[in-house]
Amino acid sequence: MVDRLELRYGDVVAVSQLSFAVEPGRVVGLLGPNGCGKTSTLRAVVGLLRPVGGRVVVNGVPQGSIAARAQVAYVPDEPTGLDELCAEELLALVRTLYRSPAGYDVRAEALVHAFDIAARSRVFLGALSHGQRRIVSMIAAFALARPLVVVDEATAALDPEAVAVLREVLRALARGGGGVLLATQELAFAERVCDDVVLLSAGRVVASGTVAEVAGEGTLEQAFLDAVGAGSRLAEVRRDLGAL
Amino acid sequence: MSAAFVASPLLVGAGVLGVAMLPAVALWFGTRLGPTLREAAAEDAALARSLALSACLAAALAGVALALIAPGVRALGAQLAAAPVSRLSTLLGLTLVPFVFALTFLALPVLLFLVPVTHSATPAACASLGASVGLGAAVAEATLALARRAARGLGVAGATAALAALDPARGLAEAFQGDGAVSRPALLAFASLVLWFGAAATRPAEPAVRGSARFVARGPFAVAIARYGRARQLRRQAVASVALAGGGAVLLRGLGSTHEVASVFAAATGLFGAALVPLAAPGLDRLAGWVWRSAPRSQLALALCHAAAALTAAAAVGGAATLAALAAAPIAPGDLAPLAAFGAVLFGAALVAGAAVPWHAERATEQLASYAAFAAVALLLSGGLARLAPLVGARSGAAAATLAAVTAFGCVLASAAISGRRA
Repeated sequence: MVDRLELRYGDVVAVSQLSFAVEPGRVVGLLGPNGCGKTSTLRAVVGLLRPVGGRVVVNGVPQGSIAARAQVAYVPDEPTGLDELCAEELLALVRTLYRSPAGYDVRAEALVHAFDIAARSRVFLGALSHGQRRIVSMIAAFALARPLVVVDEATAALDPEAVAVLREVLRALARGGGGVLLATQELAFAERVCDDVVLLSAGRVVASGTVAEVAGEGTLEQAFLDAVGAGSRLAEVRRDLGAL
Repeated sequence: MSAAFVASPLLVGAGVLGVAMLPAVALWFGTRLGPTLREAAAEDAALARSLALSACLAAALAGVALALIAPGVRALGAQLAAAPVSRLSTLLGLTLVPFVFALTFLALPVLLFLVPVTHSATPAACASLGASVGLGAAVAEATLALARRAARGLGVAGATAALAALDPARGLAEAFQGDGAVSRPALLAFASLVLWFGAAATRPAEPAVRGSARFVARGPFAVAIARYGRARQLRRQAVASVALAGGGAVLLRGLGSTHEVASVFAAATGLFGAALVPLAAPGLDRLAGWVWRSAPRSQLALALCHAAAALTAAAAVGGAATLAALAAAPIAPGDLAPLAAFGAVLFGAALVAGAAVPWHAERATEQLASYAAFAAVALLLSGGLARLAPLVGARSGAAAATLAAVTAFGCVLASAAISGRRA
């Protein structure tokens, strides 16, 4: 649960008075334009960013403690700094860091098969494509089977087949009783995989609810553009592009 | 730098103050030691020679570091690399200018130290050191080219060896004895810097990361060792340290030094090179901070584990360098025992400096700041230990070894505390 969260970078307010909850068995999508505070919010939920106001509670435990971190599995936008490891080593490292959860290896193997990267398991992450690196970090996180899975830029750099597999995996995690919180720019993906969405603009919630509630009569894209005030700007953009 | 200052204001502040005071300290030391050094060097040619050799080796090491951290064309990044900018402009702006700038920055305290020591022979002394810097930089370029399987590396290595055989340390030794003949060392400096620039201009492109793991590391400690061991810059530095130690010992022997002097100087140079591992390790760990900081583990325990891994890797490189020096100039291994204590303190200082001012493979400024912090911490530690050792009766033997081990352990704790706090 995120309650009146406030995040700052120096004097810059990244997120203000942000509240929402991820219930078990639900997939919640954080949507919004670039720089609206999605990644900052996810980092606060994971415990990588300390809020200046409000609170984040994970499975009843306030974030900032080891117990809270034990409830969350995290997939960053880019799994940096581990280029010298192969997939097998990253999976083994994450398993050790999370104290070898039961069934981890079985789940990891199933996910490796699902994402079809078994043949690349000994290749250094630095030698894999961006999308493949992200898949490896997803497998490491998903195999942990934590009560909450946090995925930043869910579909970034993934090919269509991997996106389809990811959709299935996220729904399976939710069916298993876990909560999923993801950030994405792919509204069609969000529409298909999310139960609830939170629309952010300039660090504030501008709309939230189930996908159907937020989309209303139209599409999620239309609701997004209207909510962030981008609909009217598109006409201006089309006019200005005449200069190209 | 600002992030480092926020994390460890005292240490970074002390480091910056130390760097700012370096010219004044150098002048003070030069004025104080000048008459004694000049007198001793005039009386004892062998001493002048040893002093000159060690100074030139240090200058060569600085040349290696400067050549490796000059940003070069990679600083443009993927997008700007495609921009219509001539190769010459890129080379001048991103290789030559940063190199000369950093060299000037380093030269100021050296010059202020030398003037009271060498008086009118200072230009010759500076030219000698400049030649050593150029040769060190050329060694780095030759190593890079050979590591990238480019045959031109052999040519650069051959030309470097030919210039080294002309003995750049001779000019400095003569300057210590009051001989100011500048033409020979100046020519040598010019030739070595031209050789380096030519080699830098034709540096082969870095190959894309490829390959797969031959063994699978498991657990944070083994994974940390694997990451440090596989990191390109650290691997390159490890090879250079071992080569410099072995080659340095051969060179020193060839130039007439005793086995003891050759072995000790060369092994100490190798240990300095190996110190890059603990200096760089906290910065490498920080890049993967998301995985450590989101894991349900004590950040202090993880930082301690990484520090232990960095020290282990550095000890392996330092040990290999010492063995190379011993192979080239054999002496009783026991005679090198004090170097183990020296290495422990050096690696500890590197760990603390790297935790306070993280090293970054792609950012030259951060690397320079990290090296400056290392120099400041190492100077502080050595100064402190020099005063403490007589007070606690640990000037030599087991007591000195214990003091060094305790200092290194303290450094490990300090670096883990800094890294853990930052997390």
